[in-house]
Amino acid sequence: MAIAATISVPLTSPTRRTLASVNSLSPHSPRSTLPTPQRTFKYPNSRLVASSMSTETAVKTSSASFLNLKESGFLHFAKYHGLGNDFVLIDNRDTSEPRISAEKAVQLCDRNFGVGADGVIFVLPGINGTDYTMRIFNSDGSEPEMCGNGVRCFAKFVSQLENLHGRHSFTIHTGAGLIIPEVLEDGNVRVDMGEPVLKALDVPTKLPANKDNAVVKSQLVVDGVIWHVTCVSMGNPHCVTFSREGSQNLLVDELKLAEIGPKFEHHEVFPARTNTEFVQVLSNSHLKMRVWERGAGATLACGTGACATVVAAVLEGRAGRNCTVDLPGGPLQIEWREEDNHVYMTGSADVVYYGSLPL
Amino acid sequence: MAITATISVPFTSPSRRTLASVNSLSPRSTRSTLPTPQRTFKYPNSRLVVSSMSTETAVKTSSASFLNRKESGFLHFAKYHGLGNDFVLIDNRDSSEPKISAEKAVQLCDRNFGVGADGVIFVLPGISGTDYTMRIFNSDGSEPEMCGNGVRCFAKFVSQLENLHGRHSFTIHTGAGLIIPEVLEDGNVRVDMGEPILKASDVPTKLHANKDNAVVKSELVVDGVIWHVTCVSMGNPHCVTFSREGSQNLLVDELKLAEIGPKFEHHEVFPARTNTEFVQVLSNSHLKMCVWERGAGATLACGTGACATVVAAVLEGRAGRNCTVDLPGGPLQIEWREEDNHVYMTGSADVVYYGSLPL
Repeated sequence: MAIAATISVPLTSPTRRTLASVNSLSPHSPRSTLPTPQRTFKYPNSRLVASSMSTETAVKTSSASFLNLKESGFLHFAKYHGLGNDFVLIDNRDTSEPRISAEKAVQLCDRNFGVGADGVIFVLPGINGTDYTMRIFNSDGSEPEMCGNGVRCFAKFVSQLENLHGRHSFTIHTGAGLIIPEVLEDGNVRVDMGEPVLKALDVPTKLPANKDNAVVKSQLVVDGVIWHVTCVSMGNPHCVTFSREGSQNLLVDELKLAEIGPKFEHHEVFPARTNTEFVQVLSNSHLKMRVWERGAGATLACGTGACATVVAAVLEGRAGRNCTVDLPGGPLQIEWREEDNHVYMTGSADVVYYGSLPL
Repeated sequence: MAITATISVPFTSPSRRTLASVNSLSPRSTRSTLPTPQRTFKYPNSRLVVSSMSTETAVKTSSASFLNRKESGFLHFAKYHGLGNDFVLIDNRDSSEPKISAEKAVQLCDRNFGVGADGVIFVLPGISGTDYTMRIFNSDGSEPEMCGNGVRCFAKFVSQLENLHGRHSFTIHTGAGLIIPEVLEDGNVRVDMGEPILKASDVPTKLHANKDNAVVKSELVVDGVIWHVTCVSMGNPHCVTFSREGSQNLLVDELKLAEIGPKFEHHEVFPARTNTEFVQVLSNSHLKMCVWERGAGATLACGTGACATVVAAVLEGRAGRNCTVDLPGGPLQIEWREEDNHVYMTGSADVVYYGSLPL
């Protein structure tokens, strides 16, 4: 028996909302921190849309056909990853409430019974004049304020939903305030990660400050060994180390993270526990890093960890302000700009596939 | 800017190939093993197709629209799982060569950068008169001859591709020979797992046979503790234990599998290493099992392990020939039939989502 039928799938590209360029830059004093700092973009918001070649357009059209699926009874999504930190992305622009609950998100994130992801990200309508709102449910159901890898995935997803090309940016409302990711010509995404917090009390750490209220290349005894650590918060605490007594340049691949990581994480000098970065200096602009994340163990990519690493490298005089940081999941470009004291993270975010899940 | 276009997706259901009912049953001596035994189905092949309600048809049509998507430049797939053992299923009926290589399958199986799965399964054209051919690439690129959980997923996928309903079956050519899975009314799938191998040297084990060439409730010293073990091969070696000295009924949730599992796996009496099942007897027809799989560690579902467990339980006089076996990933119904000496495994296999991956 043969059944023939035709299903018509309309392809529409929603009109992109315009936004006046953000050209103002509020002066910031070094190391100042506002309760909810509004991160402003230094460069003008350039909403360029470059015309693409026809073959690429054809591919984009095919991609867009998946993004615009609307069959009832199914949840349509895209899977993206930023250096192996993978997310389910959901187009939620038609309502301000996430399409699925945090509990359902936990089920989706299960790697054996569900889709499998580190989190679920929703593209929601903008708030207070922003283009979009971003919300994330972690694989354990918690909701982080921000996630650097997630923002890059969000930005690339929006570019695809809106069929944007070339260099462009948009404003996003998040739990951590306004974020304006910039999609570059090469498809990488730059995100302003804000100002580093260096004051020992605010990181927080009980290690005494030894340089302008900051803990820089300070001695920390772990398991009988003296490590030299610098403490930086990027909204979450990081303990960065480049050396220990007897080994002035770490060979990070030789470290037994599962053994040493927890001892840093739960060390008494870190009242909120800490994320720890073990860093090898390859050159003045190239660092290699491995991370033990608080509550998560060894991970493939920790964006705030990469930022903290460059800040620490500058403070210790080991590297310049613009570095490539190699993480287990891939490289990130990190720049700590002197002019505004902000840390900018640039990296890739790639689509893996498009999916439809029966509800 | 708004773009409007229409894409037409044709929906067709391929004609199902007919096959004469397999009614013959070759007489088989107890415990005999042929090099490649042809597993025959005891009951007649009933290819019933029951008409479904219109609403269900609508849903099926929606499902089928994903299965029949043919956009170029994309690999279309379905994700199924059998008790958490998850697979990417690919409709490959239009070619006898798998659409992707084993190397690509490894990339697909990566849980952070790819789709994430335990393996990739292809539905290929039948060989030697069979309806279909099944091939599997494991997440490490190896190709197993058979996989019970994979067969159930394969069967459910075929049912959906062919829009089959009610009780039905089809013939599949696999690396382990002919398999005829039966999809039951409730959607569960029954698979003939073949005859157990009990002869000690064939399992293989160096433990001495103590019952008709078999090792039944034999003493094995592991880490200074005497365990009572029964050895069964279902094509791969299994060491099943229900008790140890001082504990006549195991409480499997209290075992530290990561510590004890490897010591069984690499024990000198198992020249090919072994899979080990630790079993708690809940009743004469209900067993609870956790498994340490050779080369894989603790897993959610091991179909051959569940089969070996019931065989061992019968040999030790702890349970009857038809049991529910609770595995970490869910329950399986296992029956060791006296009439043909075959072990039949019945369990669920569920679709998680449908996906399309840019190539």
